Amino acid sequence: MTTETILGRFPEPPGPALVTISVEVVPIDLVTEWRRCGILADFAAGYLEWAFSRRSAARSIVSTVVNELVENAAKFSVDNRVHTHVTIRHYGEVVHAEVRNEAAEEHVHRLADVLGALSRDGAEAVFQRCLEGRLGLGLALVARDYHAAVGARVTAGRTPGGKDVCLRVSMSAQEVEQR
Amino acid sequence: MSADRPDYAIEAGSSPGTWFLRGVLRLESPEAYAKAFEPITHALGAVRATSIDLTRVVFLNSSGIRGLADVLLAARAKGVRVTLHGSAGVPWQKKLATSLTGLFPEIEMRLDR
Repeated sequence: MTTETILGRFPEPPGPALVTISVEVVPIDLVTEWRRCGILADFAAGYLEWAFSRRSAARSIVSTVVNELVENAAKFSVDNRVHTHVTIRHYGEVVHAEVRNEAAEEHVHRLADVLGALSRDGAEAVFQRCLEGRLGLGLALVARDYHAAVGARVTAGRTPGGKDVCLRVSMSAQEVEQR
Repeated sequence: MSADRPDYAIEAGSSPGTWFLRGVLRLESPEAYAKAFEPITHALGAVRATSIDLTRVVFLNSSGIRGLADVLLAARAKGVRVTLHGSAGVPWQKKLATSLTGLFPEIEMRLDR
């Protein structure tokens, strides 16, 4: 039996996706050459932008959000050789960007704190707190700047000490193209 | 392909305290930004006002915003007035104004169309 824990706001897909892109990477490649995080984000954004009328805004925002997720996976994977999946799905009204990797339990605890605070206190308060405390800003930034729901589904991992984490950012399509 | 060529540039303008940033700023950590922004931070000791032009920055990741906040903290400590220039047409630059002015109400952010 698999125990599943939901952290923060983790909306389920509203139906079949109109456009999907999924890329598999190993974190060690990202850590070895950091700019690969941005290359991957730009590639996904370039693929998705054609589903929007305001393509330039959509490309910029999707790339910004995906880059934060990919950097997160690069920094917090329990084993740099375990495959990580980056997936973006456009459902028409909403866009889900997610990264699925194996993270250490310690990181899952930190993630639970941040995602819980985002749900409880709101993105603005968490963002200001992180900025003031010189803490990691990425998830609070995405939640605040793009009115995104940010959450995670955590299940047992396959590597020792690892948890399978699917970190998902859900944004309205209107927000993605700044309508 | 040059692996070592940075995707960004940080250049001093002709007036003292004037800085122009351009390219893609997606460094891996706030420490990497501290190194990249060192010329700006160092120069704060010699001016009463500084301006940082971000209009030609394509992307700045969250570590970069932390790095920029560190520059603003250093400017505050030295009593240096800061003006940031951005473009309203670039989504993240538009958001940056409200990201930083909450903690740094003393800075001025000018957004050009």
